[in-house]
Amino acid sequence: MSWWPRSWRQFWSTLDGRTYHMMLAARPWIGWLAVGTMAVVFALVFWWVPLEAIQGYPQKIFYIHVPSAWIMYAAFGVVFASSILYLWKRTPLWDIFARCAAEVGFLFVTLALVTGMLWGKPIWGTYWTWDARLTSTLILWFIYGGYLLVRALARPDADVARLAAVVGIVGFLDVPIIHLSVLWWRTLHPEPVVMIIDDPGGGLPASMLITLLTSLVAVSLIFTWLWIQRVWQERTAENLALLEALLDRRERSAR
Amino acid sequence: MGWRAAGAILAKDLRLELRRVETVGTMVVFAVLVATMFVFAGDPTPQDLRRLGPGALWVSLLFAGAIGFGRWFAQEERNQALQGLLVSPVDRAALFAGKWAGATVFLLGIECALVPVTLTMYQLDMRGAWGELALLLATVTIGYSALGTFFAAVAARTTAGELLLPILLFPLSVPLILAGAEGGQALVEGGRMGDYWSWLSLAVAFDVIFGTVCTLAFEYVIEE
Repeated sequence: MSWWPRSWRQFWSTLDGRTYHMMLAARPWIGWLAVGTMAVVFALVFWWVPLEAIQGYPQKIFYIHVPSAWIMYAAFGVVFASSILYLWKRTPLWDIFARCAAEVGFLFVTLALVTGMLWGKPIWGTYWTWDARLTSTLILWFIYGGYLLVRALARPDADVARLAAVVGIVGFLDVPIIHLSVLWWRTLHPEPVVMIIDDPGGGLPASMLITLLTSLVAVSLIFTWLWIQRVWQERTAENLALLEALLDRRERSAR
Repeated sequence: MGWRAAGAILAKDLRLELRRVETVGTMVVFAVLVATMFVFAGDPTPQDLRRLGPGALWVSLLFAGAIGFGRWFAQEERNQALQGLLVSPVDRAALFAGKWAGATVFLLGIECALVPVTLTMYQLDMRGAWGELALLLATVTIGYSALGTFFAAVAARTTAGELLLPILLFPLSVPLILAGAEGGQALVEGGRMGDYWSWLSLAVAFDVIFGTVCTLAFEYVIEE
C-alpha cells in the first residue's frame, strides 16, 4: 500500500492531494448517481408521494427546498474546514476547495431562498415574510456574497487566499449566533404570520420522509459533483498558468 | 500579550484624534443627520417615534461606525505607518487590541453626543434606566468595534475598500444590532427587564467570542 501515509505528519501534508485524486476518480460515478437519484426523486414526487391535505401541489416544492437549505450549511462547513486547513498547511488546494465550496454553496442559498419564496406565495400569501428562518438565510446569503466579493476585489498585491480564509472562518462562526438572535427577535415579538406548515420533519408521514431523504441524497450528489467539477477547473487553470509561465521563461532564456 | 504596546497604540490614536477632531466631530454630525433622516422617511406620530427610536439610534451608529472604522484604519496605511508597526517588535494581537480599544473609545465618544439628541428627537423616556442603557451601549459598541476594526483591515486589502467594509460588517453585526435595538426597546417600554438581560447576555457572549476570534485572526489579515 504505497499510497498509505507513513505518519500523521505525512497524512496531513498530503491529505489535500489524496482527497483531490479520490474526488477525480469518483467524479463520473457521482455524476451518474446524481442523475439517477434525481430521476427517482422526480418519480417519487410526482407519482408516488400523496398530495398534502391542506396545501396541495405547492407543497411539493418542499422536496427541493429543504435539501437545498441543508446542503448550504454543509457547503459552508466545507468552506470553514478548508479555510482552517489552508491557514494551517498553506497548500493551494485547500484554498481551491474553500473557494469552490463557497461558490456552489452560494448557488444553493440562492436556490433555498427562491424556492422558499415560490412556496411562500401560495401558502402564506406573500413572497417574503420576516420569519426567523427566512431572515437568517438572507443574512447567510449576504455573508457569503461578501466572501465572494472579497475574493473578486482583492488588491493584486494582497494574498487573496489568506484573506478569504479569514473571512470564511469568522463568517461561519457567526452563523449560529445570528440564528439564535433572529429566533429571539421573532419569538419575543410574535407576528401574526399564517403558518399552516408545522416544523418539517416533525410528524412527517413515512412516504414524505422517504421522498425527502431520497431528495437529500440526490441534492448532496449534485452539490458534490458541481464542487468537484469547479475544483478540477480551477486546478487545471492553475496548472495551465504555471505551464505558460515556464514556457515563457524558457523562451526568454533561449533568446 | 503586550499590554504596554496596545496601550501605546491606543494613546497614539487618541492623541492624533484630539489634535484634529475631524473624524469624530464629523461623524457626530453625520450620525445625528442619519437619525434625522429616519424621521423624514416615515412621517411618524409620537407613538411611531417611540417605536422607531432605538432602531434609528442603532442604524445611525452602524453607519457612522462603518465610515469611521475605515478611516481609523486607513490612517495606518498613509505613509506606510502600518509597515512601521509591523516591523516593530509588537505582537499582532497587541496591535489589534490597541486599534480595537481606540475604535471603541471613538464610538463611545460619538454616542455621548448622539444618544441624548436621539432620545430627545424621538421623545424616548428611559424611565431612569440610565445605567442599564449605558451598559447596553458599551457592550454593543465593544463588539461592533472589534468586528469593524477587523474587517476594516480586510477591506483595506481590496480595491473596493470603503464600499466593501459595510457589506462585510453589517450582516455579521446583526446579533449586536438586534441586541441593541431590542434591549433598548425593552428599557423604553419598561417592565421588560427579563428581555433586556437576555439581549445583554447575548451581546456579552458575542463580544467574548468575536473579541477573541478577531484578535487571534488579525495576524493572518495583516501578515506581509
